[in-house]
Amino acid sequence: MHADLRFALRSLLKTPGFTAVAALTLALGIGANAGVFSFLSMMLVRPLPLPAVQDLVFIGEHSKQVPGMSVSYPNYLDWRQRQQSFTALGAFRGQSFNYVGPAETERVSGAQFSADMWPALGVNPRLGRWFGADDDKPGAARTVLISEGFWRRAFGARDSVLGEKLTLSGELYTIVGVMPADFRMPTGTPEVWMPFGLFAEQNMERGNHPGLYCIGRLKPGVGYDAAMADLRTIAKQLEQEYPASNTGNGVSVQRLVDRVIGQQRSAVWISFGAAFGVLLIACANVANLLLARAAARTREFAVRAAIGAGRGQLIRLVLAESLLLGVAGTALGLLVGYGTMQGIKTLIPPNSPFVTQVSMDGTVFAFAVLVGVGVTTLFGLVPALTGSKVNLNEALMAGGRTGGGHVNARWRSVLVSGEFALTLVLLFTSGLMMRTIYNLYRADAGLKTDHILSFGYGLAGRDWSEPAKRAQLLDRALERLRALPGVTSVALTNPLPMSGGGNQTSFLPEGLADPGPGKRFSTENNAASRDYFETMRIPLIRGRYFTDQEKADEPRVVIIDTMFAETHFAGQDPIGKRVMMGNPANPTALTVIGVVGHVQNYGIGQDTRVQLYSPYRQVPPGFVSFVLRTSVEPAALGNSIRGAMREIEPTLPVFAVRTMDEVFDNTVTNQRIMLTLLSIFAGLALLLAAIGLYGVLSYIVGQRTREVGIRMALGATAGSVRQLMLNQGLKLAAIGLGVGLIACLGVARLTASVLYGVSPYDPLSLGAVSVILVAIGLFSSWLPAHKATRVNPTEALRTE
Amino acid sequence: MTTENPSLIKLEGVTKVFLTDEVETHALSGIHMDIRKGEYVSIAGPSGCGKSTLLSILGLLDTPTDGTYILNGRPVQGLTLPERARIRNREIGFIFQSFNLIGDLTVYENVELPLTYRGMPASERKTRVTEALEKVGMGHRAKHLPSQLSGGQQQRVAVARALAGSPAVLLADEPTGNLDSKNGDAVMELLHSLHRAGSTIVMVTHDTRFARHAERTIHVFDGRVVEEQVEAGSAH
Repeated sequence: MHADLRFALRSLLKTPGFTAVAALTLALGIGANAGVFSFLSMMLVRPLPLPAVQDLVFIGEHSKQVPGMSVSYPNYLDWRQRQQSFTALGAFRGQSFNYVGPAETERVSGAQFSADMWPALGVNPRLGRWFGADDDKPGAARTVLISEGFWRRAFGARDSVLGEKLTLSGELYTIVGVMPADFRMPTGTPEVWMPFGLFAEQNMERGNHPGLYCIGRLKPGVGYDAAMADLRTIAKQLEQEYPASNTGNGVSVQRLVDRVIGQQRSAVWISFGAAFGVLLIACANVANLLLARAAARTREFAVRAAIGAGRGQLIRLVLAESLLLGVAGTALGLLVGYGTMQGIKTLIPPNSPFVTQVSMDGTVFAFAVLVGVGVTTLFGLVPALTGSKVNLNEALMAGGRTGGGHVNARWRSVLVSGEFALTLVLLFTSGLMMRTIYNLYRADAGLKTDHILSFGYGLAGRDWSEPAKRAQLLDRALERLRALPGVTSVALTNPLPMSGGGNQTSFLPEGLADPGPGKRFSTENNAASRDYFETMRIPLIRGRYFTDQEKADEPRVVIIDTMFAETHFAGQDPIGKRVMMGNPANPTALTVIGVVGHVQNYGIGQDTRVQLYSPYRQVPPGFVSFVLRTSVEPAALGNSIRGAMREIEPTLPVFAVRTMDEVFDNTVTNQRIMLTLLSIFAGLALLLAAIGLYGVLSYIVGQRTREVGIRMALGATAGSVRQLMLNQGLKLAAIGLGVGLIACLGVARLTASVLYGVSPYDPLSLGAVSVILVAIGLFSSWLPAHKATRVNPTEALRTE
Repeated sequence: MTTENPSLIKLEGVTKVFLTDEVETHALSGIHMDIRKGEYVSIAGPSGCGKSTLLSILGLLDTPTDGTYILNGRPVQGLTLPERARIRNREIGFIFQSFNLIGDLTVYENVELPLTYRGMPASERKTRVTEALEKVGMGHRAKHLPSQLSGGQQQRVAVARALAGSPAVLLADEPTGNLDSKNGDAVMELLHSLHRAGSTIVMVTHDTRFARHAERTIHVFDGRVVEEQVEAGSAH
């Protein structure tokens, strides 16, 4: 084998053009795979930087009205006490805080943890300690753990940071630990963690679901199903014990890994499938090149066979070349893969826990080597098997011009048709994603995102606990922002549409008998200012918008959306109707003053519920988002907004400054990433398939030169010869097209979950990509076909 | 001999010069030739004398460097490529030394091929192909591939292909060169019978034994016609 490798290396070096093209082709295929595999590997092998992540489950609640509901704190306490399945069952919720730093005030993302979260996650701090049960209760000294990044940024990575104080949203916390650099929550990248128990008193109402979720670590030997049954039994008990709050509520259990990567799973698998398709096409092209090379070496093989080389030895000789090409392609492919990985990272929102974790580690390296060398060698078998089958007499007597030509051409045709089939699948999937993105952007979200700048503003902490004080500050802020040049209207809201957040509240239309716990209706409950609907271009259907007259001491009013009106006031004029909210025994009455259009507030194609808006002055939220419609490029107003808000209140930071277009873009991140990757891979596949067809047809034209000469002697015109060759190319493309169409139908099921507004069997996309493929087939065949018309019949007939 | 017949092929001062690596090779030097309809002419000479080049020019596969070629009363210099292809298809039938049948086509399809280029309706093609194959005794092998036939049978199919289009002239280039003597004799007999039936045949050969089958033999040497010989037994 050593001698074979040496000879193969020498032979490859002697043909640098062939070697470079083959190695680069493989590098593109292997690189695309390595790049996407780095994400797949992260998902499959190390989805979260937590020990024994397969034993972690994510727990929430659900009801008929709110399918994905957060956990009531008292329920959590009962679960924790009664459960038999977990070594630890913790609770957490995300929360951001205003941090007064030495230079300026900033917003830091954080999380409130029950003390049991730490043993459940099983990650030790880099410095210091976790907070324990004594820290996790009302009235305990305020303790906090900080992230490694925050420790470096705000404390210069001092080891003495333990015991230092930190002011978050007006409260002083003592730092007790620093978490390791790679620790991040499954749901995001917090910078501070504090005990949830400190805030428990505000969350002791069992009917209140304050954004809390649980994570449990399964006991050894306890299965996921058993744990789920355990929690469901407890939930049933609680339903009986606390019917007023728990009737109709159930527990939702999910593996943590599924929760975190669930949405990305399809995207990553589809992208990986596309990358693998590119690799197969690349390998088919290289196999084609090797076949041509083997055909040209028939005489050499015949001589080798004549002097005693067995077929196995000849096969080894060709395989040695494939192996070396595979190694070179893999080495280059790893570089391409690194570039691909970095490129994909730029497409993912920076706060995603995926981005920093993905790397070209040993697993990716091993995968690239295995796939690169393995698949290349496998494809190398085709030329090895056909090239080694030598008819000694024919090959030696015919001067090496014959010998397996037909077999060779047949294999090459099979390979190139296969390339076209795979390319069709990639193009089709890419076409479906293109239509999906087009539909998503074209769909009516119920508001207009153009020329809108948004930013977050938090009024949390003791200083802002007075609702009236919050309302006054927000009034001043609105007035100040309205005066900024380039701003045509300003409003505030909570939550910001399409930003992922939502508040749900149960209610009853006035006059309707209380159906009992768990059977009341649920609505999205938003706060809004006077100009919100006009700023966001949400149409007024009936009644009126808010005015400046709706104050805290005035009767409560609300604006509802069309879906609310149609669901709860069908056939009636909703204006003047009242909805009852809050404690059923002593509800607050809210009078409907207007009906506005429905907004897709979780993004296009996502679940959506009835919506209700309250004037912010009547219920001033502690957290709001401002929205500014501008007459100029909205992103250009970032600095003037920061300056204006600093003038109003220097201790409160402006954060998450984004255009609404960016907010919307984030809701379609998965589809955008897939479209980008699929388009690149499909383009690459198309290029490789075109090169493949060109190569095969050139080879066939070379083989049929004599036949062309005969045909010309018999009266064939240049046009008929061109047509003959074009037909041959188109036949290969058409076979690929036929096989590809069947494959597309198979793949359709896999892509259905990521599509919007387009059928996975969309005939328009299928037709369009088929036309593209035929056009490429025609284009690739044209040059060799034209070359065939230049055959000199006298010369061709002399070739004996 | 049909000296009263009109001229079918007329060459006047035809030369052919090949330029390779700045070397001029005079393959043909001032060839004059007149072949009348119904004649059976052989062009003889040693290898490399220019007889195959001459046949290529006669068959419009190549163009002379200088001189005039009149085929069936029409000068062929300056014809476009499609016009030349059309004349090859309708007025010339080729018979090659190595048969030049297309391996992927059946016997029937090979014979049919020149007729398809002519745009002839399928029914007429079928009649012509069947007739041509019957004429050469290969009607029973119509569905075979060339590789399933002997050399002699392949050459007979090639003759049928040349005949099918009823060309004005059959050009045969060493038609027995790849055949054993028995099959060679049979093919020569076939050509002879075609001539008797009225076909004009121009045959290139270096074998004087076969050249004698023709009525007239033109000897070519170093690209020139050095002698013309009318066979004594040309009546056959």
